[in-house]
Amino acid sequence: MFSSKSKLLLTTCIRTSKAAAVASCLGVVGMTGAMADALRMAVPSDPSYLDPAYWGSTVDQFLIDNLYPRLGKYAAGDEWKIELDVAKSVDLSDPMKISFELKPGVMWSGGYGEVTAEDVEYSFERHLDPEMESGVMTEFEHLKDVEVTGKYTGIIHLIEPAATFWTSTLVYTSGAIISKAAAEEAGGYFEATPLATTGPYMLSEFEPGNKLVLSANPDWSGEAVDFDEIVLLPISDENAAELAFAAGEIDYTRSSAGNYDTLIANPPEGAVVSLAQTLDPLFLGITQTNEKLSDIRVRKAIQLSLDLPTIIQATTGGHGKQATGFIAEGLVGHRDGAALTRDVDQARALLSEAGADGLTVRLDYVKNTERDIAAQIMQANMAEAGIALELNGQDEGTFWSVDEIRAADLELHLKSWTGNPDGYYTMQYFIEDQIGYWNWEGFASDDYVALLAEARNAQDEAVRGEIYKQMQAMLEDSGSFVFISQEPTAILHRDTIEPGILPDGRPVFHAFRKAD
Amino acid sequence: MFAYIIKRIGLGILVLLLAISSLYMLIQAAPGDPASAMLGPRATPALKAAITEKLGLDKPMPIQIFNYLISVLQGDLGTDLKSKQPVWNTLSIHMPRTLELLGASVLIAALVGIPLGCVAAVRRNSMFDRVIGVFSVSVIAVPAVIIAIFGMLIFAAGLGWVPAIGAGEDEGLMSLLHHLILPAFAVGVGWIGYIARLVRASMIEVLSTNYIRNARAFGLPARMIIYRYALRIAVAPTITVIGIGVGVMMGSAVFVEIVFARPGIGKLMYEAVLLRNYPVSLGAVMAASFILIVSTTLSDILNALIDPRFMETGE
Amino acid sequence: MSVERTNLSNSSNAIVSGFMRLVADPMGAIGVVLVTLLILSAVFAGVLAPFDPAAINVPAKLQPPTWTHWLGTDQLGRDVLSRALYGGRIALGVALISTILAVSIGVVLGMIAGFGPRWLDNLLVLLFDTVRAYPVIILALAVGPIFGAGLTTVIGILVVTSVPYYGRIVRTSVISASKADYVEALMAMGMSRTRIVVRHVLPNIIGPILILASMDIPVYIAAEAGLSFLGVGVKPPQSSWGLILDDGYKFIRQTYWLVIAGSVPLIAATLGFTFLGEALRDTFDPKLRKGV
Repeated sequence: MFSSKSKLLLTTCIRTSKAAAVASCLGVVGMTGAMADALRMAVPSDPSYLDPAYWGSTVDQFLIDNLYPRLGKYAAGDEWKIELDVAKSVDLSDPMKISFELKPGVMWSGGYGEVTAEDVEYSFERHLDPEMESGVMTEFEHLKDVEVTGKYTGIIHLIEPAATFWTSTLVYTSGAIISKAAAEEAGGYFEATPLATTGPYMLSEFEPGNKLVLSANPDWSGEAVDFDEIVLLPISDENAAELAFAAGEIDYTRSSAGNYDTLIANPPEGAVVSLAQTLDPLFLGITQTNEKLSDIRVRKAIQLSLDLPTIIQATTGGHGKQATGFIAEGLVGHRDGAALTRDVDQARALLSEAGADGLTVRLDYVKNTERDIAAQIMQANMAEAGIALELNGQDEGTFWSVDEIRAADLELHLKSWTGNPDGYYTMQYFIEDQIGYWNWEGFASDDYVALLAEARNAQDEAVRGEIYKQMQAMLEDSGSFVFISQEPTAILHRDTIEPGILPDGRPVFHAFRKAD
Repeated sequence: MFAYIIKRIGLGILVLLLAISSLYMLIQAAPGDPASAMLGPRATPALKAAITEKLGLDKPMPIQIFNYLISVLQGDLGTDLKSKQPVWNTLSIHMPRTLELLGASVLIAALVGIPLGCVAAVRRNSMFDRVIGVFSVSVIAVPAVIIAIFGMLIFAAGLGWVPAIGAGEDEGLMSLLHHLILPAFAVGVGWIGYIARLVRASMIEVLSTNYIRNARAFGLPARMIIYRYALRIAVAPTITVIGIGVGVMMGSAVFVEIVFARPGIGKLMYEAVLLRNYPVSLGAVMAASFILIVSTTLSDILNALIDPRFMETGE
Repeated sequence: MSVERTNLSNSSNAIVSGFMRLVADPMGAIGVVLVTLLILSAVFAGVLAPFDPAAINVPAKLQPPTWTHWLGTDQLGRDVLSRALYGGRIALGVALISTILAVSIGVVLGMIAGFGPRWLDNLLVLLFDTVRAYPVIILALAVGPIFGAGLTTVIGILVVTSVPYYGRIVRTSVISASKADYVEALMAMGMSRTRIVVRHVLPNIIGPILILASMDIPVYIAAEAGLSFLGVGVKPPQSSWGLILDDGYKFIRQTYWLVIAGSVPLIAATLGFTFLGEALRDTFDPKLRKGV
């Protein structure tokens, strides 16, 4: 039918609409509302590991926190408050040990019986097993062993006093308890298939990339829940999630704080919009082991060149506050009024002094809307101080991969870490052993390590807080850290539900209620 | 003819093998490793080494590729690093959604494009023909991103006629179709003009043949002739579109699926590549290349069956 | 000498009369106008742009059009009109460079395939088919992280995926041209293959190829926009229509002006070049139209 030339021409026509190929579109607004007794929630991704030894992503954290018991946990509400979970009592009076007694009759799903002290022993000690290669081994380095003294009672022995073991590990995600019988049956190693769980919900369906369904646990004897099912829908794009919410397809989602004002001014129908302060520190790391940045005057010049209030204004719509360190306002160890202020002239002077005029550096960051905005402002700020900033927006995989090559190549990196109410959690990583792994800044100080140990051992919160302040000051003074903010997040939920969330906006599934 | 078909299929298989191998190399060459991508700040060197070994990433490249191809032939696509389920399971969830989308796009393009082309041919050189001509060129030229964004603004955000996200696969056939309209339109619209142009050209060719002229001379109404031939005429352009257009449509599908949070091969592929989830990204790319190669091969063979002249010029 | 001069003036006369025929076609005229405007605005972007396209002014972010900012401002308070003007430079630059590279490489490979030894022909055709067997987007995603986002990556992806098309066209043309009597005659006279290809075959196929290439320009323009949308396109603080569109998509709940500012020039460019390409083909090489 076609001569060869016209066939070729057709190909050209086709190629013309390849324009279309590289294009994209946007979706909005639909019809189906949420099912009667199901709560539909947008999450950033699928879970990757539901074994507490390997958890990584936010979604892993949501699920582990909601499916497994812990001795204690942070309660849903507006304030960070530890409450007991599966433990009836916990005795923290002795710095070298933690005694606990479990509530009797808390049943594992799948017929694995009651939660016992043996489960606690197994769950914690497995992190010490080198064969396990537990990803949270660092968090358990002060654990000696767990002594089982009865079916429900036991004593956690420590190698040295470590008050933070309770506040930053045991009541947090890594402190999850799993069923020994179920885990041993699975060969001690399991990935995204959760074993026996406790609590009102259990995982009933997982279609990767599509949805994950939690349904009511028939064996649950505790407080009743309002929703029969919780459906988690992976929607990586915040804008898409917001649109899906507006379309009535989800009941709860998080959005950028930068969108908060628009959401308040023009809320989707039937929506309640609020703002939560996360604990996740956003910071700029400056790698001091890099030759270009080894002179502290150069690092200080970068610190001084940045207009942090403008960055925060642009990314959070003015709802974020400039950070003074890794520890958010209202938590133990927060530094008051120590924020960096901009001084372009001094930055220039320092650069000249260091003989680094005409410096060009590269900024790595995970490419998304907010980070792009922050990075572009930094680029403009630094240009005014005479530093050329090359932006290197990367995908998550590339950004978070570290090996020897990347570690040696790091210059500036804008990143956010999972926060914890105890600042120890974040600050334990800035030690020499972590250079090449998670100490991208190359910061190393014996004084810092000494303070870290001191903080760990300090039972008194006020004392610990003072040490944390000193540590954050040391990090900042090294010129390797620019604390930007603990980013707030906007939360959208339907007015027919009352969300159960932690102060930082993370959902606590069983605490979600139907509004009256 | 039989020899041509065999040759075409053989070539298809060879191209598929080459495409898989080269993609395997490309994806492995990207910096970043799956363990870090998945575990974030918690990936210990030991854990990373374990995953590397498990995936056989420590072996020389030719051996890696060979091993991969062998296991693919045995129907084993490996394990999804993220969900820890067989990649095959993950693909079988997403594949039908993409095929739906592509099918619906071709259908929309054909349903709108064929009548337009017919009318343009019958009223050749009329105002209508000219308008269709300009319209055809325009929809081919305008990037789908723009058509989609404005379509979304008007039909989804403005009028609320169509849903925003997902494929609606849990709520029955009607919901499935309802969720499909906008994405399929976004993928298919560029092809309307393309099909219209092809149909018009074929139609003009047919209308000018002696046979038709004779039929007309014998008083057969033009409309009847057109109806009688329209279907036959429409088949070839549609097959051609399926043949050479599927690759382009799949590209559009990546965006459409990401933006509509619609499960599908495109979205799966995009996310897997970002996470260095090698087994899934390879599986997804392979599925995409497979769809592409099968459809081009099939369309070449069909075209050859319809018109044997195609064999000489098509290759 | 004088003979050559006559030829020259003849061919320039042909171009002038061709141009007249081109603008007589309404589609061609629209194409010429749009393309001329685009080229002028890109060349004189520096003069026409009222602001520095990279100048950030956060307090003035996401404004609708005003007398100061004719197309409003983006999420960093930058002047969108200035960014759109500079974006035109990127779009045209990418299209031009990609076309030149893709056509050159495609012509060379296609001629080698068409006129070279059989095994080389088979190998090249297989390579062409392989490249065409995966979607452009996945190539962009796989290659993006290796080379990093940026103009080079964009151009690289466009060239690699386009070469097979030109290669195949040239190969087919060379094969049919080499069957021509005069080529057989030249070979019989002992002229070398390379010489025949370069001196006699190439001039015959270059015209149609250039017309096809001109029709591909909108593809490249739209592709650059799409890749920028995907994050493997141009880098800030550079401006691109794709980036403006991406910003518009992200902030669509706040303002629709960014979508308009990104899409109008993109539509104008793709339509302009497509109309021009179609008209060029109809005017200079009606043969190409046969069958369609």
